[in-house]
Amino acid sequence: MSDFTAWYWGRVASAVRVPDASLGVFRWIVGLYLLLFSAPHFAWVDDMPRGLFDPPIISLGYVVGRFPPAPALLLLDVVAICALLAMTVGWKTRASTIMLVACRLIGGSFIYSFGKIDHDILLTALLLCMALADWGRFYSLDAQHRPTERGEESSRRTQQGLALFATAVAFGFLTAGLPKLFGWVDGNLETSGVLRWLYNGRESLGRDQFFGGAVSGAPALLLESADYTTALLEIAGFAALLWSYRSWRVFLAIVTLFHLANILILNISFGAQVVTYLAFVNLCFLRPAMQRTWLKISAVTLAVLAAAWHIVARIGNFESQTVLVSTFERHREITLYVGIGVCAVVAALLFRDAWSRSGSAQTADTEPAVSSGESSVRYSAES
Amino acid sequence: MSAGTGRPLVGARLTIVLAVVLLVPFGFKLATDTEPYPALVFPAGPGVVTTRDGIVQYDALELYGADASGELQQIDPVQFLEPIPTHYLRDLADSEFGTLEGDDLTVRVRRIGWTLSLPRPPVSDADREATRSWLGDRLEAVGLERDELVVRRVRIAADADDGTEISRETIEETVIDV
Repeated sequence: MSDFTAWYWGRVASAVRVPDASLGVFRWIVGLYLLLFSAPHFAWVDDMPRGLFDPPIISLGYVVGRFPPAPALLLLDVVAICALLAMTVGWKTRASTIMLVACRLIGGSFIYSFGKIDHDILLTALLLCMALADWGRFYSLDAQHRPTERGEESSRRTQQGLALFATAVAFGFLTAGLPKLFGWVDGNLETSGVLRWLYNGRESLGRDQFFGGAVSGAPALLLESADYTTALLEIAGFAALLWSYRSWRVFLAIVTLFHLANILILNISFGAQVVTYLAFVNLCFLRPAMQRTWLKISAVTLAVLAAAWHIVARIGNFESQTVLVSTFERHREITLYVGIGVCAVVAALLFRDAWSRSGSAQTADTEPAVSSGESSVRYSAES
Repeated sequence: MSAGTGRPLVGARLTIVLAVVLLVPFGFKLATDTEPYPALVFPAGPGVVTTRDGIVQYDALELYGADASGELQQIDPVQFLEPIPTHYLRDLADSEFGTLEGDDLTVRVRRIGWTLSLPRPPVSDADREATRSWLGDRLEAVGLERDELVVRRVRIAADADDGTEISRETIEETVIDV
C-alpha cells in the first residue's frame, strides 16, 4: 500500500506543481470571479414553502428534517459573503476559506433539498484543498505579517493541496464518464446521448440560445462519435494526471473546450468550474501587475463593493448570484456569456502552460520531481 | 517516489480516507441510483434518445394554468419557478410540487434487490396547505387563476434532420388542486 501511495502521489505531484506565488494570484482570480458572478446565495430558500422539502436520503438536510426557519439562510449568506471577501483579500485566509467551505456545505444541504442536486461540489473541494495549500501566503493581508518569501518554489503544502484537488477533478470526471460509457457507447447509430441533453434542455427548460439548433440535423455518425468522445474524455482524467505535467494540462484544456461546447450547444454554464482549473496554471506572469498599487487598490475596492452589493441584495430579496443583477434568469444568461470568455481564456492558458519551458522540462522527467520530505521544487524565471 | 526522505506527499492513512470519501458515495449512487450530499460526483445523464426512420422521439414537461375564461394556458417555467432554478422542474413535478402525501423514502440496491426504507421528513397538513397557497400565488403572478396547476408529460416526435416538430402527444397529465 505504501509503495502504491508513494508512486501515486509522486506522479501526481510532478504533474500538478506550480510556484507558491501562483496560488496567491489564483486566489484573487477565484475570489473576484465568485464575488462578481457566483456569490453564495441560499437566502431564497427562506421564502419557500415547507411542502417542497425533499432532501437526499443521505444528507444533512434529511437529518435536520426541514428547511431552517427564516432568516437562518439569509444569515448564512451574510457569513459566507464575508468569508468570501476575507478569503479574496487574504485576511485570515485559511480560516475564512474553511468558513466558506462550511457555509457552502450547509447551504447546499438545503438548496439541494428540492429533489435535485446541482453538481458544483468541485468548487467546494477546491476551497478545501487550497486551505490545505495555504493559498494566503502571497498577495494577501496575511502576507504582511509573515517573513518575505520569493514564492518561486513549489512547496510541499502547495503540492499537497494541488495533488488532492487534481485527484478530485480526475475522480469527478470519472463519475460522469463511467455511467456514460455504459449508456452512450452502444454501437447503435439510432441512439444519442448528446441529443437527449439537447432536447430535454430545450423543451422543458427553454435552453435555446447559441448553436443548439445546428446540432439537431447533425449526421448520426457525428452524434455517435460525440457520445463516444465525451465518455472516453471523461474517464481519461487519471491517465492524463499520472502520465505527465503536459498531458494533465492538455486534458484540462480539452475538457475546458468541451465545457465551451456545452455552453454553446446545451446552454449549461460551467464558468465557475473552469476557473478552478487555473489552479494548475503557473500564473506568475501576472506578478508584475499584482505589484502595482493602483491595481491592488482597485481589486480590493471591487471586492468590497461586490460583497456589499450582495449583502444588500440578499436583504432586499434580489435573487441573483451575479453582482448588479436582480433575477435568477438574468444571472443565468450572464454566466453563459461570461462562461464563454472564461473557457476561451482558461483553455489558452492551459495549452500555453503545457508547452511552456518548465512544462517541457518536467515532461522529460521520468522521476517525479517532488514526493517527499520538506523539499520543494524551484522554478526558473522563465516559468 | 523520488529521492529524499522517503515520506510521500500524502500518507497511506489519508490516502485510504480519501479513497473512502470518494468511492463510497459514488458506489452508493451507482448501486442505488440515489445520490448523497455532499459527494464528489459530476452529472452523468447516461440516458439516450432514439432516432428511427428520420424521426427522433423525446419527452418533455409542460405546465399549464387556467386563464379567466377557463382556457388552459401554457406557463413559462422560468417565470413560474423564479427564484427556484428552472432545472429543478422535473423533480418538483415528481413530487407534485410538494402536495403529494408521500410514502417512506426507499433505497433499493440494484440487482440484489435489498431495500432500505426511511421515514420521509414530516410535512403537516398546514405545511401542505401553505404550499398550495404558494402555488396559487405563483399562478396569479403569471396572470392565471389560482385554482389548479396542470403538469403534462408529453412525447414529442421531431424531424431528425432539422428538429422540426412533427407531433406532440400527452402521455401523462397531473392536475394539482391549488
